[in-house]
Amino acid sequence: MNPTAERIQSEVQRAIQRSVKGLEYIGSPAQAVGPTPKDVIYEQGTLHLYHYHPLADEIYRVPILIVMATSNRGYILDLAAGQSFVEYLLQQGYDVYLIDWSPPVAADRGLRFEDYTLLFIPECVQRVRDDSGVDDVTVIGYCMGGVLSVMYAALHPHEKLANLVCFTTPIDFSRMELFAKWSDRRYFDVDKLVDATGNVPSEIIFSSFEMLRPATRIAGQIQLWENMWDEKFVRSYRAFERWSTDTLPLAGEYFRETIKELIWENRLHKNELVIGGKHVDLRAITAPVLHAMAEHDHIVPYDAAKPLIGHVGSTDKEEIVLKGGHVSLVAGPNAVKRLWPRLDAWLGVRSV
Amino acid sequence: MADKDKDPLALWREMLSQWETNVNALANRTMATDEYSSQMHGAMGMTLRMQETIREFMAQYLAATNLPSRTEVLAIAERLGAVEARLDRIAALLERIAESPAGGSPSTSPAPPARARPPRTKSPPAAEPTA
Repeated sequence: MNPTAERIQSEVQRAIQRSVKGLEYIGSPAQAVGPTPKDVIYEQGTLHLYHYHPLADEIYRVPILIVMATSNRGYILDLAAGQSFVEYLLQQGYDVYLIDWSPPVAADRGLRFEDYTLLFIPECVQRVRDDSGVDDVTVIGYCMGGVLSVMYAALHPHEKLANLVCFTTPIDFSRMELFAKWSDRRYFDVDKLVDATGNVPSEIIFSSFEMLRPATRIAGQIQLWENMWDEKFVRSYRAFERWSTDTLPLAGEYFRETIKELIWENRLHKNELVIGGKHVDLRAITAPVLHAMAEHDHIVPYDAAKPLIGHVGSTDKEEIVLKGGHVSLVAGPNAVKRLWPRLDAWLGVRSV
Repeated sequence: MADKDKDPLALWREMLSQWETNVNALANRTMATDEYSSQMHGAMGMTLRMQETIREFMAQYLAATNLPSRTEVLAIAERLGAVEARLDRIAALLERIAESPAGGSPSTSPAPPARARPPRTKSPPAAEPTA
Protein backbone atom coordinates (compact mmCIF):
# COMPACT_ATOMS: atom_id res chain seq x y z
CA MET A 1 0.00 0.00 0.00
CA ASN A 2 1.40 3.42 -0.88
CA PRO A 3 2.05 5.88 2.00
CA THR A 4 -0.84 8.20 1.12
CA ALA A 5 -3.35 5.34 1.05
CA GLU A 6 -1.89 4.03 4.32
CA ARG A 7 -2.25 7.47 5.89
CA ILE A 8 -5.84 7.81 4.68
CA GLN A 9 -6.69 4.35 6.05
CA SER A 10 -5.10 5.26 9.38
CA GLU A 11 -7.09 8.52 9.56
CA VAL A 12 -10.35 6.69 8.74
CA GLN A 13 -9.65 4.17 11.51
CA ARG A 14 -8.90 6.98 13.93
CA ALA A 15 -12.11 8.77 12.94
CA ILE A 16 -14.09 5.60 13.72
CA GLN A 17 -12.24 5.16 17.01
CA ARG A 18 -12.94 8.80 17.91
CA SER A 19 -16.66 8.26 17.47
CA VAL A 20 -16.73 5.00 19.42
CA LYS A 21 -14.45 6.20 22.22
CA GLY A 22 -16.10 9.61 22.25
CA LEU A 23 -19.37 7.95 23.25
CA GLU A 24 -17.55 5.89 25.90
CA TYR A 25 -15.89 9.08 27.15
CA ILE A 26 -19.19 10.90 27.61
CA GLY A 27 -20.73 8.02 29.55
CA SER A 28 -17.75 7.02 31.66
CA PRO A 29 -17.18 7.98 35.30
CA ALA A 30 -14.44 10.38 36.44
CA GLN A 31 -10.85 9.23 36.07
CA ALA A 32 -9.51 7.56 39.21
CA VAL A 33 -6.56 9.45 40.71
CA GLY A 34 -4.15 9.18 43.66
CA PRO A 35 -3.47 5.42 43.33
CA THR A 36 -0.30 5.14 45.46
CA PRO A 37 -1.12 3.37 48.76
CA LYS A 38 -1.01 5.65 51.79
CA ASP A 39 -2.15 6.11 55.37
CA VAL A 40 -3.71 9.24 56.77
CA ILE A 41 -1.61 9.83 59.87
CA TYR A 42 -3.02 13.17 60.98
CA GLU A 43 -6.04 15.32 60.26
CA GLN A 44 -6.92 18.77 61.50
CA GLY A 45 -9.86 20.45 59.82
CA THR A 46 -8.84 21.29 56.27
CA LEU A 47 -5.45 19.57 56.65
CA HIS A 48 -4.69 15.91 55.91
CA LEU A 49 -1.24 14.42 56.40
CA TYR A 50 -0.54 11.31 54.35
CA HIS A 51 2.27 8.82 54.66
CA TYR A 52 2.88 6.82 51.49
CA HIS A 53 3.90 3.19 51.79
CA PRO A 54 7.58 2.84 50.87
CA LEU A 55 8.25 1.06 47.57
CA ALA A 56 12.00 0.46 47.97
CA ASP A 57 13.76 -2.18 50.07
CA GLU A 58 16.10 0.46 51.47
CA ILE A 59 15.24 4.13 51.96
CA TYR A 60 17.11 7.38 52.55
CA ARG A 61 17.48 8.40 56.18
CA VAL A 62 15.80 11.80 55.78
CA PRO A 63 12.03 11.78 55.16
CA ILE A 64 10.29 14.22 52.81
CA LEU A 65 7.26 16.32 53.71
CA ILE A 66 5.48 17.78 50.65
CA VAL A 67 3.30 20.85 51.22
CA MET A 68 0.63 21.10 48.54
CA ALA A 69 -0.69 24.43 47.24
CA THR A 70 -3.76 25.54 49.17
CA SER A 71 -5.81 26.18 46.03
CA ASN A 72 -5.54 22.70 44.55
CA ARG A 73 -5.77 19.02 45.42
CA GLY A 74 -2.62 17.05 46.15
CA TYR A 75 -3.42 14.26 43.71
CA ILE A 76 -1.73 16.24 40.91
CA LEU A 77 1.44 14.79 42.43
CA ASP A 78 -0.02 11.26 42.30
CA LEU A 79 -2.17 11.25 39.17
CA ALA A 80 -1.76 7.67 37.96
CA ALA A 81 0.71 4.82 38.13
CA GLY A 82 3.71 5.80 36.00
CA GLN A 83 2.61 9.44 36.09
CA SER A 84 3.10 10.11 39.76
CA PHE A 85 5.76 12.28 41.38
CA VAL A 86 5.10 10.58 44.71
CA GLU A 87 5.50 7.11 43.19
CA TYR A 88 8.75 8.22 41.53
CA LEU A 89 10.17 9.46 44.85
CA LEU A 90 9.16 6.22 46.57
CA GLN A 91 10.80 4.16 43.84
CA GLN A 92 14.01 6.17 44.22
CA GLY A 93 14.04 5.28 47.93
CA TYR A 94 12.53 8.29 49.67
CA ASP A 95 10.12 8.16 52.59
CA VAL A 96 7.29 10.47 51.53
CA TYR A 97 4.68 12.40 53.54
CA LEU A 98 2.28 14.91 52.01
CA ILE A 99 0.09 17.69 53.39
CA ASP A 100 -3.11 17.84 51.35
CA TRP A 101 -5.96 20.30 51.83
CA SER A 102 -9.69 19.76 51.68
CA PRO A 103 -12.18 22.60 51.14
CA PRO A 104 -12.28 24.87 54.19
CA VAL A 105 -15.69 24.86 55.89
CA ALA A 106 -17.43 27.88 57.41
CA ALA A 107 -15.58 27.38 60.71
CA ASP A 108 -12.24 27.67 58.84
CA ARG A 109 -12.92 31.15 57.44
CA GLY A 110 -10.69 32.72 60.10
CA LEU A 111 -7.56 30.68 59.17
CA ARG A 112 -4.59 32.97 58.62
CA PHE A 113 -0.95 32.64 57.58
CA GLU A 114 -0.08 32.04 61.22
CA ASP A 115 -2.33 28.97 61.37
CA TYR A 116 -0.58 27.45 58.38
CA THR A 117 2.99 28.40 59.26
CA LEU A 118 3.02 28.40 63.07
CA LEU A 119 0.57 25.55 63.70
CA PHE A 120 -0.23 23.28 60.74
CA ILE A 121 3.20 22.80 59.16
CA PRO A 122 5.12 22.60 62.48
CA GLU A 123 2.61 20.05 63.77
CA CYS A 124 3.02 17.97 60.61
CA VAL A 125 6.81 18.19 60.77
CA GLN A 126 6.60 16.90 64.34
CA ARG A 127 4.26 14.07 63.25
CA VAL A 128 6.72 13.13 60.51
CA ARG A 129 9.53 13.10 63.08
CA ASP A 130 7.52 10.92 65.44
CA ASP A 131 6.42 8.57 62.69
CA SER A 132 9.81 8.22 61.02
CA GLY A 133 11.99 8.45 64.11
CA VAL A 134 14.19 10.99 62.30
CA ASP A 135 14.66 14.56 63.53
CA ASP A 136 15.59 16.36 60.33
CA VAL A 137 13.04 16.55 57.55
CA THR A 138 13.15 17.78 53.95
CA VAL A 139 10.25 20.10 53.12
CA ILE A 140 9.08 20.41 49.51
CA GLY A 141 6.50 23.09 48.69
CA TYR A 142 4.61 23.58 45.46
CA CYS A 143 3.42 27.08 44.45
CA MET A 144 1.59 28.58 47.48
CA GLY A 145 2.65 25.45 49.35
CA GLY A 146 6.17 26.69 48.61
CA VAL A 147 5.34 30.15 49.95
CA LEU A 148 4.02 28.60 53.18
CA SER A 149 7.10 26.35 53.41
CA VAL A 150 9.41 29.33 52.98
CA MET A 151 7.51 31.22 55.69
CA TYR A 152 7.68 28.17 57.97
CA ALA A 153 11.44 27.76 57.39
CA ALA A 154 12.10 31.46 58.07
CA LEU A 155 9.97 31.40 61.23
CA HIS A 156 11.65 28.28 62.64
CA PRO A 157 15.38 28.81 62.10
CA HIS A 158 16.29 26.50 64.97
CA GLU A 159 14.25 23.54 63.75
CA LYS A 160 16.19 20.78 62.07
CA LEU A 161 15.26 21.42 58.45
CA ALA A 162 17.35 19.08 56.31
CA ASN A 163 16.53 20.69 52.95
CA LEU A 164 14.02 23.11 51.51
CA VAL A 165 12.81 22.47 47.98
CA CYS A 166 10.42 24.88 46.27
CA PHE A 167 8.62 24.42 43.00
CA THR A 168 7.43 27.57 41.20
CA THR A 169 7.22 29.60 44.39
CA PRO A 170 6.37 33.29 44.01
CA ILE A 171 8.28 35.77 46.16
CA ASP A 172 8.01 39.07 44.27
CA PHE A 173 4.25 39.28 43.82
CA SER A 174 4.48 42.53 41.86
CA ARG A 175 5.87 40.43 39.00
CA MET A 176 2.72 38.29 38.83
CA GLU A 177 1.46 41.03 36.63
CA LEU A 178 -2.05 39.92 35.71
CA PHE A 179 -2.91 38.84 39.25
CA ALA A 180 -1.51 42.15 40.52
CA LYS A 181 -3.60 44.03 37.97
CA TRP A 182 -6.79 42.12 38.77
CA SER A 183 -6.37 42.73 42.46
CA ASP A 184 -5.58 46.44 42.01
CA ARG A 185 -6.65 48.05 45.29
CA ARG A 186 -8.28 50.94 43.41
CA TYR A 187 -10.92 48.55 42.07
CA PHE A 188 -10.80 45.35 44.11
CA ASP A 189 -12.56 45.53 47.48
CA VAL A 190 -11.15 42.36 49.05
CA ASP A 191 -12.84 43.14 52.38
CA LYS A 192 -16.24 43.27 50.75
CA LEU A 193 -15.62 39.95 48.97
CA VAL A 194 -14.36 38.12 52.07
CA ASP A 195 -16.99 39.63 54.37
CA ALA A 196 -19.73 38.61 51.95
CA THR A 197 -18.53 35.11 51.10
CA GLY A 198 -16.66 33.92 54.21
CA ASN A 199 -14.45 31.49 52.36
CA VAL A 200 -13.67 32.60 48.83
CA PRO A 201 -15.57 30.23 46.51
CA SER A 202 -13.62 27.82 44.33
CA GLU A 203 -15.36 29.26 41.24
CA ILE A 204 -13.55 32.56 41.76
CA ILE A 205 -10.19 30.81 42.22
CA PHE A 206 -10.83 28.59 39.17
CA SER A 207 -11.88 31.56 37.02
CA SER A 208 -8.82 33.58 37.94
CA PHE A 209 -6.56 30.72 36.77
CA GLU A 210 -8.66 30.14 33.63
CA MET A 211 -8.63 33.81 32.69
CA LEU A 212 -4.84 33.73 32.40
CA ARG A 213 -5.19 31.46 29.36
CA PRO A 214 -8.77 31.80 28.12
CA ALA A 215 -8.24 29.95 24.82
CA THR A 216 -6.38 27.00 26.27
CA ARG A 217 -9.42 25.06 27.45
CA ILE A 218 -11.08 25.25 24.01
CA ALA A 219 -7.84 24.27 22.29
CA GLY A 220 -7.44 21.41 24.78
CA GLN A 221 -10.90 20.07 24.00
CA ILE A 222 -10.18 20.14 20.28
CA GLN A 223 -6.92 18.27 20.95
CA LEU A 224 -8.83 15.75 23.04
CA TRP A 225 -11.24 15.07 20.17
CA GLU A 226 -8.36 14.70 17.75
CA ASN A 227 -6.63 12.22 20.07
CA MET A 228 -9.76 10.41 21.20
CA TRP A 229 -8.46 7.21 19.54
CA ASP A 230 -5.41 7.25 21.84
CA GLU A 231 -6.35 5.78 25.23
CA LYS A 232 -3.15 6.91 26.92
CA PHE A 233 -3.72 10.52 25.83
CA VAL A 234 -7.36 10.43 26.91
CA ARG A 235 -6.51 8.97 30.34
CA SER A 236 -3.87 11.61 30.92
CA TYR A 237 -6.12 14.43 29.65
CA ARG A 238 -8.98 13.35 31.89
CA ALA A 239 -6.83 13.14 34.98
CA PHE A 240 -5.42 16.65 34.36
CA GLU A 241 -8.86 17.98 33.45
CA ARG A 242 -10.34 16.57 36.63
CA TRP A 243 -7.59 18.13 38.71
CA SER A 244 -7.65 21.55 37.06
CA THR A 245 -11.40 21.93 37.62
CA ASP A 246 -11.15 20.57 41.17
CA THR A 247 -10.04 23.91 42.58
CA LEU A 248 -10.44 24.52 46.31
CA PRO A 249 -12.09 27.49 48.00
CA LEU A 250 -9.70 29.54 50.11
CA ALA A 251 -10.18 30.41 53.76
CA GLY A 252 -11.41 34.01 53.87
CA GLU A 253 -8.77 35.56 56.14
CA TYR A 254 -5.99 33.66 54.40
CA PHE A 255 -7.19 35.08 51.07
CA ARG A 256 -7.44 38.59 52.55
CA GLU A 257 -3.85 38.33 53.85
CA THR A 258 -2.59 36.99 50.51
CA ILE A 259 -4.09 39.96 48.69
CA LYS A 260 -3.12 42.64 51.20
CA GLU A 261 0.22 41.44 52.55
CA LEU A 262 1.66 39.63 49.55
CA ILE A 263 0.10 41.20 46.45
CA TRP A 264 -0.65 44.77 47.54
CA GLU A 265 2.27 45.36 49.90
CA ASN A 266 4.66 42.70 48.53
CA ARG A 267 5.94 42.26 52.09
CA LEU A 268 7.59 38.84 51.63
CA HIS A 269 9.84 40.25 48.92
CA LYS A 270 10.48 43.48 50.84
CA ASN A 271 11.44 41.54 53.98
CA GLU A 272 8.64 43.26 55.91
CA LEU A 273 6.23 40.38 56.51
CA VAL A 274 5.18 39.73 60.09
CA ILE A 275 3.22 36.61 61.00
CA GLY A 276 1.87 36.06 64.50
CA GLY A 277 4.11 38.89 65.73
CA LYS A 278 7.24 37.30 64.22
CA HIS A 279 9.28 38.77 61.39
CA VAL A 280 9.54 36.48 58.36
CA ASP A 281 13.18 37.07 57.44
CA LEU A 282 14.21 34.78 54.60
CA ARG A 283 17.87 35.31 55.53
CA ALA A 284 17.16 33.10 58.57
CA ILE A 285 16.84 30.11 56.22
CA THR A 286 20.20 28.33 56.23
CA ALA A 287 19.26 24.80 55.12
CA PRO A 288 20.20 23.75 51.57
CA VAL A 289 17.64 25.20 49.14
CA LEU A 290 16.64 24.12 45.65
CA HIS A 291 14.16 26.19 43.67
CA ALA A 292 12.75 24.72 40.44
CA MET A 293 10.94 27.04 38.06
CA ALA A 294 9.31 26.62 34.67
CA GLU A 295 10.30 28.54 31.57
CA HIS A 296 6.71 29.00 30.40
CA ASP A 297 4.95 29.38 33.73
CA HIS A 298 1.91 31.61 33.10
CA ILE A 299 0.82 31.56 36.77
CA VAL A 300 4.12 32.23 38.54
CA PRO A 301 6.42 33.86 35.96
CA TYR A 302 10.17 33.44 36.39
CA ASP A 303 10.61 37.06 37.52
CA ALA A 304 8.17 36.50 40.39
CA ALA A 305 9.94 33.33 41.59
CA LYS A 306 13.57 34.29 40.91
CA PRO A 307 14.27 36.35 44.08
CA LEU A 308 13.97 33.37 46.46
CA ILE A 309 17.53 32.14 46.02
CA GLY A 310 18.91 35.67 46.49
CA HIS A 311 16.92 36.21 49.68
CA VAL A 312 17.67 33.02 51.63
CA GLY A 313 20.69 32.89 53.92
CA SER A 314 21.77 29.41 52.82
CA THR A 315 25.19 28.90 51.31
CA ASP A 316 24.15 25.66 49.63
CA LYS A 317 21.45 26.90 47.24
CA GLU A 318 20.56 26.38 43.62
CA GLU A 319 17.88 27.38 41.16
CA ILE A 320 16.93 25.48 38.05
CA VAL A 321 14.73 26.65 35.20
CA LEU A 322 13.28 23.86 33.11
CA LYS A 323 11.13 23.74 30.02
CA GLY A 324 7.44 23.47 30.76
CA GLY A 325 4.61 25.28 32.46
CA HIS A 326 3.35 25.70 36.00
CA VAL A 327 1.81 22.22 36.16
CA SER A 328 3.80 20.31 33.55
CA LEU A 329 6.95 21.14 35.52
CA VAL A 330 5.87 18.87 38.38
CA ALA A 331 3.42 16.45 36.76
CA GLY A 332 3.03 14.82 33.38
CA PRO A 333 5.20 13.02 30.86
CA ASN A 334 7.87 15.73 30.64
CA ALA A 335 8.33 16.01 34.40
CA VAL A 336 9.41 12.35 34.41
CA LYS A 337 12.31 13.26 32.12
CA ARG A 338 13.12 16.76 33.39
CA LEU A 339 12.38 17.77 36.97
CA TRP A 340 12.15 14.47 38.78
CA PRO A 341 15.63 13.13 37.93
CA ARG A 342 17.16 16.58 38.59
CA LEU A 343 15.50 16.68 41.99
CA ASP A 344 16.61 13.13 42.77
CA ALA A 345 20.21 13.94 41.87
CA TRP A 346 20.16 17.05 44.11
CA LEU A 347 18.23 15.56 47.00
CA GLY A 348 19.73 12.06 47.20
CA VAL A 349 23.15 13.26 48.34
CA ARG A 350 21.46 15.54 50.91
CA SER A 351 19.18 12.86 52.35
CA VAL A 352 21.67 10.54 54.01
CA MET B 1 9.94 17.07 8.63
CA ALA B 2 9.07 14.29 6.19
CA ASP B 3 6.48 12.98 8.64
CA LYS B 4 5.06 16.45 9.01
CA ASP B 5 4.73 16.78 5.26
CA LYS B 6 2.82 13.51 5.10
CA ASP B 7 0.55 14.37 8.00
CA PRO B 8 -2.61 16.04 6.66
CA LEU B 9 -3.44 17.32 10.14
CA ALA B 10 -0.08 18.96 10.82
CA LEU B 11 -1.16 22.27 9.31
CA TRP B 12 -4.38 22.18 11.28
CA ARG B 13 -2.47 21.54 14.53
CA GLU B 14 -0.14 24.39 13.80
CA MET B 15 -3.07 26.71 13.11
CA LEU B 16 -4.77 25.66 16.35
CA SER B 17 -1.61 26.29 18.33
CA GLN B 18 -1.16 29.68 16.70
CA TRP B 19 -4.81 30.58 17.34
CA GLU B 20 -4.45 29.61 21.01
CA THR B 21 -1.29 31.72 21.41
CA ASN B 22 -2.81 34.74 19.69
CA VAL B 23 -6.13 34.65 21.56
CA ASN B 24 -4.37 34.22 24.92
CA ALA B 25 -2.01 37.11 24.15
CA LEU B 26 -4.86 39.37 23.02
CA ALA B 27 -6.98 38.48 26.06
CA ASN B 28 -4.04 39.07 28.40
CA ARG B 29 -3.43 42.50 26.87
CA THR B 30 -7.10 43.39 27.27
CA MET B 31 -7.28 42.07 30.82
CA ALA B 32 -4.17 44.00 31.85
CA THR B 33 -5.91 47.34 31.37
CA ASP B 34 -7.36 49.54 34.12
CA GLU B 35 -10.70 49.56 32.30
CA TYR B 36 -10.96 45.79 32.48
CA SER B 37 -10.10 45.67 36.20
CA SER B 38 -12.55 48.46 36.92
CA GLN B 39 -15.38 46.78 35.00
CA MET B 40 -14.65 43.31 36.38
CA HIS B 41 -14.72 44.48 39.98
CA GLY B 42 -17.70 46.76 39.31
CA ALA B 43 -19.62 43.71 38.10
CA MET B 44 -18.41 41.65 41.06
CA GLY B 45 -19.44 44.36 43.52
CA MET B 46 -22.88 44.50 41.96
CA THR B 47 -23.24 40.71 42.17
CA LEU B 48 -22.17 40.74 45.82
CA ARG B 49 -24.67 43.51 46.65
CA MET B 50 -27.41 41.61 44.83
CA GLN B 51 -26.53 38.38 46.65
CA GLU B 52 -26.56 40.21 49.97
CA THR B 53 -30.01 41.66 49.29
CA ILE B 54 -31.38 38.30 48.21
CA ARG B 55 -29.75 36.60 51.22
CA GLU B 56 -31.36 39.05 53.64
CA PHE B 57 -34.73 38.70 51.95
CA MET B 58 -34.53 34.88 51.89
CA ALA B 59 -33.40 34.74 55.53
CA GLN B 60 -36.50 36.73 56.56
CA TYR B 61 -38.74 34.62 54.34
CA LEU B 62 -37.32 31.30 55.58
CA ALA B 63 -37.54 32.43 59.22
CA ALA B 64 -41.19 33.44 58.65
CA THR B 65 -41.99 30.06 57.09
CA ASN B 66 -40.03 28.18 59.76
CA LEU B 67 -37.56 26.68 57.27
CA PRO B 68 -33.76 26.39 57.63
CA SER B 69 -31.51 28.67 55.58
CA ARG B 70 -28.65 27.42 53.40
CA THR B 71 -26.15 28.50 56.05
CA GLU B 72 -27.98 26.45 58.66
CA VAL B 73 -28.16 23.41 56.38
CA LEU B 74 -24.44 23.75 55.65
CA ALA B 75 -23.68 24.01 59.36
CA ILE B 76 -25.64 20.77 59.95
CA ALA B 77 -23.80 19.13 57.01
CA GLU B 78 -20.45 20.14 58.52
CA ARG B 79 -21.41 18.69 61.87
CA LEU B 80 -22.61 15.49 60.18
CA GLY B 81 -19.30 15.34 58.31
CA ALA B 82 -17.43 15.65 61.60
CA VAL B 83 -19.59 12.90 63.15
CA GLU B 84 -18.94 10.63 60.14
CA ALA B 85 -15.18 11.29 60.34
CA ARG B 86 -15.24 10.42 64.03
CA LEU B 87 -17.24 7.25 63.28
CA ASP B 88 -14.68 6.29 60.62
CA ARG B 89 -11.88 6.69 63.16
CA ILE B 90 -13.80 4.59 65.71
CA ALA B 91 -14.50 1.91 63.07
CA ALA B 92 -10.80 1.85 62.10
CA LEU B 93 -9.84 1.55 65.76
CA LEU B 94 -12.30 -1.31 66.27
CA GLU B 95 -10.90 -3.10 63.23
CA ARG B 96 -7.40 -2.82 64.66
CA ILE B 97 -8.65 -4.13 68.01
CA ALA B 98 -10.28 -7.09 66.24
CA GLU B 99 -7.08 -7.77 64.30
CA SER B 100 -4.80 -7.55 67.36
CA PRO B 101 -3.40 -10.86 68.69
CA ALA B 102 -5.73 -12.74 71.09
CA GLY B 103 -5.03 -11.79 74.64
CA GLY B 104 -2.91 -8.86 73.57
CA SER B 105 -3.81 -5.37 74.62
CA PRO B 106 -4.60 -3.46 71.44
CA SER B 107 -3.35 0.06 71.12
CA THR B 108 -5.98 2.75 71.45
CA SER B 109 -3.88 5.14 69.39
CA PRO B 110 -5.61 6.44 66.26
CA ALA B 111 -2.37 5.97 64.32
CA PRO B 112 -2.46 3.51 61.39
CA PRO B 113 -1.25 -0.05 61.98
CA ALA B 114 2.50 -0.38 62.34
CA ARG B 115 4.00 -1.59 59.10
CA ALA B 116 7.44 -3.06 58.61
CA ARG B 117 9.60 -0.17 57.39
CA PRO B 118 12.64 -0.58 55.17
CA PRO B 119 15.97 0.36 56.75
CA ARG B 120 17.04 4.02 56.38
CA THR B 121 20.43 3.11 55.03
CA LYS B 122 20.18 4.06 51.38
CA SER B 123 23.03 6.03 49.82
CA PRO B 124 22.75 8.00 46.59
CA PRO B 125 23.89 5.99 43.57
CA ALA B 126 27.07 8.03 43.05
CA ALA B 127 28.16 7.45 46.64
CA GLU B 128 27.58 3.68 46.50
CA PRO B 129 30.84 1.67 46.44
CA THR B 130 31.63 0.19 43.07
CA ALA B 131 32.46 -3.49 42.99
